[in-house]
Amino acid sequence: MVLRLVLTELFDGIVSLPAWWYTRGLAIMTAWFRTFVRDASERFSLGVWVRNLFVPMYGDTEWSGRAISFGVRFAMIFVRGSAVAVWSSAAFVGLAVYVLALPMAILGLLYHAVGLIVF
Amino acid sequence: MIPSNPPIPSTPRAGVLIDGKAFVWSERLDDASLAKKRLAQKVQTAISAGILAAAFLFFLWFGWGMYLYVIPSGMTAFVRAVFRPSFVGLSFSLFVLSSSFVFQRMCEVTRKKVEMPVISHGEAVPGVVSTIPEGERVNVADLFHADAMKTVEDAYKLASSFGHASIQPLHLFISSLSHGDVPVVFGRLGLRFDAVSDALNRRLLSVPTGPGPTFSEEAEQTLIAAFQNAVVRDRSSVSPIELFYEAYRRDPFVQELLYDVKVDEARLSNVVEWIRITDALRERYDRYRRAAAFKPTGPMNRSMTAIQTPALDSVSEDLTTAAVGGRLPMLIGRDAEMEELLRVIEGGGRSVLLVGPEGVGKTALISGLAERMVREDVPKMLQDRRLVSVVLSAVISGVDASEAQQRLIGVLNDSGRSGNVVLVMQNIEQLVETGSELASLLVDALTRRMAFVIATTTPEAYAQTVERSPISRVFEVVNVPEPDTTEAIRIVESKVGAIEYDQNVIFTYDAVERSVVLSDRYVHASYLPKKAIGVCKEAALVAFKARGENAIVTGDDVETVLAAKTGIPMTQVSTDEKDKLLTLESTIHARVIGQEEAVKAVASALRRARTELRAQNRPISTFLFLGPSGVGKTALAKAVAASYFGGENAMLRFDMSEYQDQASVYRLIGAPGGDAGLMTEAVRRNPFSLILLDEFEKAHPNILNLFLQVFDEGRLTDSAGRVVDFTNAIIIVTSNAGSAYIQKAVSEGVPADQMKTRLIEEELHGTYRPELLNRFDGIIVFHPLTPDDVQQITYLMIAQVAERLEAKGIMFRATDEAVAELSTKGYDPKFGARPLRRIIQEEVDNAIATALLEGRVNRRDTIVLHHGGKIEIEKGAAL
Repeated sequence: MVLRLVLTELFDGIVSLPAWWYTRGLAIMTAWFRTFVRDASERFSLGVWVRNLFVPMYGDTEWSGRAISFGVRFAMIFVRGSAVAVWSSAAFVGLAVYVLALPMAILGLLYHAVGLIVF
Repeated sequence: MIPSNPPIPSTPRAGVLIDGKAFVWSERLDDASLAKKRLAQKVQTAISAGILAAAFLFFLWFGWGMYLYVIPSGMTAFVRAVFRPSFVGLSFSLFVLSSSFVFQRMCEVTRKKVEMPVISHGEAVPGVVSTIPEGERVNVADLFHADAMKTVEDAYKLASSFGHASIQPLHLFISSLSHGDVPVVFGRLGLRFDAVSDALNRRLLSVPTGPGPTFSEEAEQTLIAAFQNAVVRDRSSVSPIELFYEAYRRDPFVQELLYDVKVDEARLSNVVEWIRITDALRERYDRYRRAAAFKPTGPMNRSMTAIQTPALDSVSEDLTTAAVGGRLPMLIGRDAEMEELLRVIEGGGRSVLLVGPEGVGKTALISGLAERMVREDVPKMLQDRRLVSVVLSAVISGVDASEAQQRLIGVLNDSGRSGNVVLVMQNIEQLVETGSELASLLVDALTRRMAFVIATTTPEAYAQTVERSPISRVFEVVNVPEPDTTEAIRIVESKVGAIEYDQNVIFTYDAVERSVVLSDRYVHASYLPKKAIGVCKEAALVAFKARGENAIVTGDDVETVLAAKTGIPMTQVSTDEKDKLLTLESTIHARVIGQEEAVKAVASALRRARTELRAQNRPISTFLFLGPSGVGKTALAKAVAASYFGGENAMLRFDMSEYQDQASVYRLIGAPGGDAGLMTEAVRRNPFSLILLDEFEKAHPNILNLFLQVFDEGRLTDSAGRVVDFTNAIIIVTSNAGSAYIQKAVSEGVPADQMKTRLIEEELHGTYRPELLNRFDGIIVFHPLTPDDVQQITYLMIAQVAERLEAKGIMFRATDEAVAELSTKGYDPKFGARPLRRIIQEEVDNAIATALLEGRVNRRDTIVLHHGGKIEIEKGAAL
């Protein structure tokens, strides 16, 4: 009974893993990726800076102040955007690693095991 | 994955319909399925552990290979290891593969098979139905927390072990007692399981036995109701506490059992809510901390459009910064007020004035708003802004009017130019009281939308100051009333955790409940929940000092604190006091002779009051004592004050003949803008007292009308607008009205009832209005004293003389003949026993005083009063 249960559990796990990996597992990882990118955007206030691109900083409403503000905000959007991009890229790499991990591991196992046995 | 047990094929007998789905209980529960489930869990755990160990070993293998072969040889070896068959590549592949398994299993273990349904705000709460329509069905067992499932399984095992035919709410109740937070509920209620275990065992033995057990219909309803309960309270799963509560509600025996240990449904519900509040606070705090990470804490907003605000900063505190730092209390309840506040802000963008008594939670509401601003869970016009509390006393104090104006202008300018500031001005009446210019400045700034202000004031200040100033035009009023006792209990429950932490004590629910209920009843100078929180803090200190660390704070501690604060005895009636109450008549009779009816009526009223059988919204009792002078009306009042209120000093005596003109009403309740009223102030300071209103018929009719409200509602508003509480006072009104009739009726032997009826209907008709007479709890006719009564009174007065002399070490007694002589001389049919005091002074006190002055009497001597006023001195033994 116990052995049957163990074997069933293992067999089911092995058989269902690839399907699970690209359905429910991928959904979990995609949700994680989205949260990660949204948090990055929030942390660097990218949306706030974009929305206020033409709003003068520090309440300086003179034309010179507006011009400087625009310049600074533009630069800051670039810097912050880059930071969000780097952050998001890291998350994307994580997601890509997830997508590739399972086939690569199976291929690697087959390649190295067969290679070692045969050669 | 091992498949779960197949669902029960039978038709469910209870369910909840949400969004077209029927949530029913269809989990199989029998010995075989339980054994299979247990085995499956063990197998799953073993496999998970095995895979985790394998992943770890593969990782070690891979690391070892890298260390031995790859790292020493550099990049070439790495490329070779990857692209040519190698043990390093094999171990890495196995590590990744086994880790994938671990990841999958972890996700599956934490994954919910079914999501808890969500009821949107304002949506009707779905009820438990017994007829389940065809359609999609969801097994609620999938939404039960592991602890809750264990509770259900234990209930099955319990029923099975007793051989019961069915699982009933009783089994669920008993099994829940050892799971989840349910033991905490018992702890908070100050209950031990031992207190109910015998009765529960007896009950279990009376449950019918038979093959099974299977779920009874009531048990199935309990499971579904527990699910419904969890849905309504937005819980992520059903926990044992919901099962416990619903099982309690569905088993009358359990209800009776807990009622016997002083736990009714309201108390249980409040304790369950307490546990949930603690959980919710924790969850909310975690969510809040994450959100707070994004909120700037300086004067600058996230979009950097703000400017520095030096003038504002010098007289203010940034509440959003304080909230980010976790220094503000979390708001509990007050959903309606918060909703209204946000609606007003969102609606017209007008500044808001929170009007509520001191201590009801206006500051807490503002803290709640600060917290929501940190989470940016506010209308758009409050987003990316900071909430800054202007300390008005810092603006207006220590400077002349023009300087104060400059400061206020600075604050408003900073706020206007910065554009990211919402101002808070607590007690805005200060601004109005200081001068109309400041108020005008604020009105101007708010009209021009230079600033947005959330201000607070009390109803009294609003009526007296703010409403009459231009400020009232620019503010939208949001009322913050005192919370009811249930909401106040929940607010106090949310605050008790901090008090427990500070004082290292543990509160029982009884302590929390009494702090709210008793302070609501007896403390009228402040409001809930603040006064109850204050009482809890003091009770914690009392318990800590008395019993040290981890002391349990009980209702008795709270009562002790409140009794000390108010002077009102509110502890449970002790054995000593019980005897005292039962023998009150004889205690009073030690000071008052005769007047059986009056003494009995007063004693009964006091017993009713002490056992809390009286109406709580009226004075303890109101009596009208009628009768001629000198028959013991005032003496009875004094005796009651001495025997029950702790001394004659607790009697507040007002001679109503001093209040004969209309203007004298102000002396009683205070003149507007003038001195406090003599009576209202005295009662405010000593709410637990006996109020004696002598010669009531002589007071002005308007004053008599004033007492209609006092007798009926137990309260009176003084000239300062404060409500003075009379519900803990006994009011005794004495009157000589109808005395002539009483004397005549007594001499003619008219029966008491007939005499009283005639008095009320005819004799008192011209003196008191019927509605006033109807408001007395008792109209008691004092009978004229008989010569025997007067003789008894003479003995009492002689005893008082002896008591006075005893302080000097001298004994005193009077012979029976002397007493009889004195009583004959002291009795006057018109004035009762009143002349007796004068006679004793003249004939006894004077003689003793002369003997003392002549040096004939020394310590330890005994003075004997004989017939004819003769004094004999018996010399005491020499030392």
